[in-house]
Amino acid sequence: MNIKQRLNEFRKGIGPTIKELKFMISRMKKSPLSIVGAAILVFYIAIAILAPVLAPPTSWDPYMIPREGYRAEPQAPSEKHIFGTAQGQYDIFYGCIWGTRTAFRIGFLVVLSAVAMGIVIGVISGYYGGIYDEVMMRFTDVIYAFPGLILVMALVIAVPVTFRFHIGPSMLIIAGFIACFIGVSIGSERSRLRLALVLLGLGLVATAIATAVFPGQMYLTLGSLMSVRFTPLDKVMLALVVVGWPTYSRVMRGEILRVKQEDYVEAAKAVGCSDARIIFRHILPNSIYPLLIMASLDIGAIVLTAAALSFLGLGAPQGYADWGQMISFSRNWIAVRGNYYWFTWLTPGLFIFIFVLGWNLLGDAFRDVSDPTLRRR
Amino acid sequence: MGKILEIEDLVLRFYTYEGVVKALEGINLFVEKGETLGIVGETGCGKTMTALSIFNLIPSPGRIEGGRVLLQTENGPIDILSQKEDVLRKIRGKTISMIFQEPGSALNPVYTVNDQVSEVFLVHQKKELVKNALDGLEEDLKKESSMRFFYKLEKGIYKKMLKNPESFSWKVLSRIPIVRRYQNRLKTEMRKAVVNILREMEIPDPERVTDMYPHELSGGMQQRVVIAIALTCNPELLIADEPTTSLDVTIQARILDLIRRLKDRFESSIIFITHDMGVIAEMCDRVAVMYAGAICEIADVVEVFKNPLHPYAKALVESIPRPGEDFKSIEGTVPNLIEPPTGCRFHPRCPMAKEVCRRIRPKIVEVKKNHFVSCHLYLGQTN
Repeated sequence: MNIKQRLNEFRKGIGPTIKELKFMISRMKKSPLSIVGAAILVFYIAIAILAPVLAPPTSWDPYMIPREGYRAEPQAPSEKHIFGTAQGQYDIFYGCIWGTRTAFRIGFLVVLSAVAMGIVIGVISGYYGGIYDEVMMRFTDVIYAFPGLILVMALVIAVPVTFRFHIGPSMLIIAGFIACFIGVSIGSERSRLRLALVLLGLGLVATAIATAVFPGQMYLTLGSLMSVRFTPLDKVMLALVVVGWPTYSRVMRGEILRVKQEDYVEAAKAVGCSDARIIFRHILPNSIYPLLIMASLDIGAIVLTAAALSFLGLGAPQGYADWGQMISFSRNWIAVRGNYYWFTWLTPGLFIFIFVLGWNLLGDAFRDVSDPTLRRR
Repeated sequence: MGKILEIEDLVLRFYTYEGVVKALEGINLFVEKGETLGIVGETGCGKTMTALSIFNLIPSPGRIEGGRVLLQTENGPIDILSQKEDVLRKIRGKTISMIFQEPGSALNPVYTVNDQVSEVFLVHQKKELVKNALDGLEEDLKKESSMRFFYKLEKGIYKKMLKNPESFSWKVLSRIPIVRRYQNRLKTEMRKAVVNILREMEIPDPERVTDMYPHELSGGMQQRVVIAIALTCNPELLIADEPTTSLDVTIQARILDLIRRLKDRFESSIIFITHDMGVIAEMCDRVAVMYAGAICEIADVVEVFKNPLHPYAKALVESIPRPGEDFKSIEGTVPNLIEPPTGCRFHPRCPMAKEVCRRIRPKIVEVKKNHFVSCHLYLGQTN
């Protein structure tokens, strides 16, 4: 086989994917709103990428907004600060530009981790059912029982800045994770449960031994490798993930319950496929779309929540480039007669508003384009 | 002729919110090697559930409460109901396989025909595929080529793979980009095998059809693909669960013809589940008549049509529409299986019901040679 033939084969293999992509793009072109959404996001992505050019960093940490003295009163837009300065003489332009990176980071990381968690938990509880389902779904109920924003705030405050894994508990946690993994991935129904229980028991024993060998050292740290430092922004993201995943896992579970009933899953079982094969090959591709659409719609909402937290003073540290923080700087200057300090809140507000609008438009378009039941024919 | 499958006193219950559904009550059946057994009965009388319990694949609220399903294998008979999941997985699709009722929904919409048929090969016959791939490699190695070095590497991989095709390291290797290209040879082998089996299913232009998605095929074609999936591993027992119900009559005839010819070819036994008496007459050697989760009558197909003994079987044969005659239906409806009638389950609709029918469930007895009936009318005759 020469190279030309190989190339042809490759083209043939990748053909359907390209065709599908072309179809998606042609559909997108037909709806003007999606073009607007896409354009907005392209604009923001450009800002995020070009941030060092648009607003050259002055200190070692580019995310810290440079400030011009310590005066409280914001300064109106001028040649030097084209969007003006906020309370404490922080440059609004710099904050907005670098804040774009923060927004993307929060949006993507939070939604990706929440979706990943939602998929894992939704798959396990939906496919295996029974006790797994019961335990996990009651756990999601617990999280649902709290008002979302309040729980996020509580978590942000509760999570310590440095999180050390101690020898005893970490053994238990690791054993628990391994037990869950093994329990789900191999063996038959009964042996799986037995194995998981044995491993958990071993973990307990290891914990006991660790405590005995290092007397009074339950809290012996495993060194810096096992300790994690959270920046305040990490804490916000962690809290948002913890509060966000139950929605995804519920949707995933519902979808899996639907697909599980389909004949082709039954047929795959009758052919002798293993559970992993059925889940990854037959169930997931048929059930993941609603989740992806939800995720694309949620990125904007997550950024909005993070901004709200920052506004309340719970998010980014003082002076960190973050849109919510920029607005929180303007808190004292919003209700001034004659709206003299409009520039303190209008620009960052517009940045957030347009960003969220862009994601929502694109999410809608994505739904219209990618949901096979809503299109074609 | 030995028995390939024997079902003894199978009891299946569904634990639902409304109560316990007594879906199957003491089913006794056997299938001989090379024969076709038909199972007829109204909708909801437990035909499909009988089939699924042969696979030990009863859906969730259902539980098998008693009985045995003995499958004849090389190492003597094994009870499917008490086997572990991994043993069952090797049996399913290889020794017993199933043709599903709705070809449209039995195929996964997101994969091509090639993907779905080759899945069976991957699960059950990976070793043979690897062997074929190795042969192909030897051929390539004989030739002078710039790829010689890679072929040698490939050969090493395939030789190792031949020893243990299910090993974990292959799963890891097949996830690494570029390295996983070693699988391409396996894929071409698989494709050849799929095209072959599709050709045997009399699918025109199998090369093209393998790359199609299920929705691009007609109903008859889809059913052929489903049959191909069921027959890839030459199963000893094939369960056809109403394979022609959703097809129109001409396609039906061709599919039935195909199944019959394939059966002769592969020498497998078939359990043919249907409610169409015409199909039964066409296809089967013996017939089991089921009613409300119990078997009424088992006999040779001619015997059932000419000389049905059980009142339900009689009514069923009479209700076959014939031109020029009034259409006869069976009075009443199928009972609710949460509270099935006491005694014989057919007695509320039976024209010949006696007092004893209400109290005692009749045992199944051999009235004539190879003619089993479960009815009080004939219980006296054998003793």
